Amino acid sequence: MDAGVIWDTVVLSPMINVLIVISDYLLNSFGLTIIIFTMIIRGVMYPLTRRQLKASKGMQELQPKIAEIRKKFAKDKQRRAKEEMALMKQSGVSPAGCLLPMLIQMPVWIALYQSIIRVLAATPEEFLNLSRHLYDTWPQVFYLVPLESKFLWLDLSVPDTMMLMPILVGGSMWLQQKMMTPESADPAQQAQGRMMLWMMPLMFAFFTLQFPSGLALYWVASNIISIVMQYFISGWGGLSTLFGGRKVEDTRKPPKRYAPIEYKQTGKHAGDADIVVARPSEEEGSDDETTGDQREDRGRGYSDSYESTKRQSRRDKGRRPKRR
Amino acid sequence: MKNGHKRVLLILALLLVGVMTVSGCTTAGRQMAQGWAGGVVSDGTIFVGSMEGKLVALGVSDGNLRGDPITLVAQAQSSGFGCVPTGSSAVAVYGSPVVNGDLVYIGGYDGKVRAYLFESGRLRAEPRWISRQGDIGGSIIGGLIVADGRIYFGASDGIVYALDAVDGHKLWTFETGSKIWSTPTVEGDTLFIGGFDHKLYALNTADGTQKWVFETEGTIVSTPVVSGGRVYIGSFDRRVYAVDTTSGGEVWRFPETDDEVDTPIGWFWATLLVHNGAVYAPNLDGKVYVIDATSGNRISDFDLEGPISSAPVLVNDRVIVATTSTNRAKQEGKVFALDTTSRQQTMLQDFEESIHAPLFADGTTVYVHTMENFLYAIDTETGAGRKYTLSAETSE
Repeated sequence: MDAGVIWDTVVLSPMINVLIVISDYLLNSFGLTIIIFTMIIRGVMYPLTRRQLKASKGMQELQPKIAEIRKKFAKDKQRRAKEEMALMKQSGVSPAGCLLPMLIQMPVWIALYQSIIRVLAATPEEFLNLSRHLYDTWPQVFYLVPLESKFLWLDLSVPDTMMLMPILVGGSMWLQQKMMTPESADPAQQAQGRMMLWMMPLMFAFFTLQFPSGLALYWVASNIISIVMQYFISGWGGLSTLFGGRKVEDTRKPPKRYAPIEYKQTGKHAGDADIVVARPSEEEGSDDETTGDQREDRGRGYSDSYESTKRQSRRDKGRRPKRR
Repeated sequence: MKNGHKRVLLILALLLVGVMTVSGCTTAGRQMAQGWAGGVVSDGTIFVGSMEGKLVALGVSDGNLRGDPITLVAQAQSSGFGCVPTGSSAVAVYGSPVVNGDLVYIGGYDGKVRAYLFESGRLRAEPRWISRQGDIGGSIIGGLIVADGRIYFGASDGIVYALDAVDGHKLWTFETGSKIWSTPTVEGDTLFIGGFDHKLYALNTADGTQKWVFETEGTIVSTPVVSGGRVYIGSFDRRVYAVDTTSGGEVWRFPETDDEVDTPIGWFWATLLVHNGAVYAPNLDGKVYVIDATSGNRISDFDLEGPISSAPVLVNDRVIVATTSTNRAKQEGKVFALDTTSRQQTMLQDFEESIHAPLFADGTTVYVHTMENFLYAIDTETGAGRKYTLSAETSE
């Protein structure tokens, strides 16, 4: 059995049939079905999304320290990498925490995309193809297809002629990107942030001009859900600057504060130093066995290494190396 | 976030978009309208709509072209992206061409009907007329019917049209509730046509007014068949219906319920065929159900083990029917002869090409237009075949 058949059987066909059946309970409105189905899928994927967002936030918070390490070990790449890894390990943050959940979610997004495209069959070829996915034992799916493609002002099977969907897709994606983009003093990072902020929304807005508006509806719904999830997990993020130019503090959790980086002289060469991350005082007493994510859930952080950090600080007292 | 990680995220995002875009242009996702027109044989000439959006005329005896193939051209919307073509492009053709006197008519996916002159054994490249821009608002998937100097057809805008066969002027329209992909049937002064709104309509051919409407539980794309005062129709609700042509009342339905043993499990997409008191109903589940035309009871079925979407034809008491591939990855098509007397099935040809186009016949020869754009002529008596290459303008 080839991969395409397995994909169709295990992922695509179930999703298509469920999508059709859901529409039966939503007044045969495929527009509502797309929204509800997107909510369900995003709800199921929430633990992964949450993990990804938290990891991203953790990475953002480490940026000042990473920048310092880069500055410090600009000429020693090996050491720089080692120190960065040590910092991340100590902080309970890993790049894989950002990427892995995203990679796991990607097939689901693609399946959802393909399901919507399949159900919105417009050409005779697409209809015949859709018939291959329908479950013989679910009679209602045979009666319900094709689904009603009219929703609000849209014909979901064709691009939006009123051009509102490209604006909604681009706008919602911009908001989501803005929330994710951290403020940075580094001009290079600022430029990259700006590029990310504008490029993806513009690209998707452009795609919306070409694709059926049913898919655009899915993108808008998905973006809005992402914005809501992101708000509850990591606050307004980059959007806070939009509120009258004043940064809005996320008051739901105490913000983490890091003490200045301390370096322990261990070698003879210039720049050879170990980094010690000091802990916020309110994090004392945390369970040493918990993971970085779990610690963040309780509004605490990184305490597994706090005691050792304190011990380290005591041992190294008075031996802070001079910055070069 | 680290620059490197951002770059990775960006690449992943682009990859996702790339996958979506690519899958949107290929058979893995959106499928572009390719067309699958059948054809007609008239006075020793085959007229067929090719997969390249061309109207092709070939001599039956020699396979030579009767005039240059005519490309049906549409002005595509400018997009500048992906698989959507820009500028002019060939129009997909699903409905078979029809011949009336010296005019050949063909309907396109661009929603236009074109009439071409066939005189002195040659197809003229300049159209006699093309239906006016804006006259028809939807793609034409079903075929055209010419009767009493008029052309009748339904379009994806949900409207049934009647045009003057001589000059293409619109005579009347009838609006249904949804798309129409079904080819109409005209019997006397009544036109029958099914739609996506699950309904079978009976209209007056004179003015397009409704005589009656009959509702099934599924979409109708198959062509209604009229015989013995009844109109027979297959539906996506996996049933075949017999309806009284005068009153529009249901005579029977097959199967009566979904709980019956061995009920059809696919859509009735292809046109039914009525012969000798039996209805032959091809289904996408790979079977041809044989139903008593009077009672609606099942007589038997032929299991051909492949979806049937192309319309069958009757040749000398044998139903000639084609199956197509069961999955998208594998291209295959088989042509069978079903003996209506002995109920025996014989495979005539086995192709490595899918078949969706309606079959058409001339005498004992059946023509099969495959999705690879070949036209095969099969002698149903001997099984001998001949292959016409429609795209290369030659025959083998």
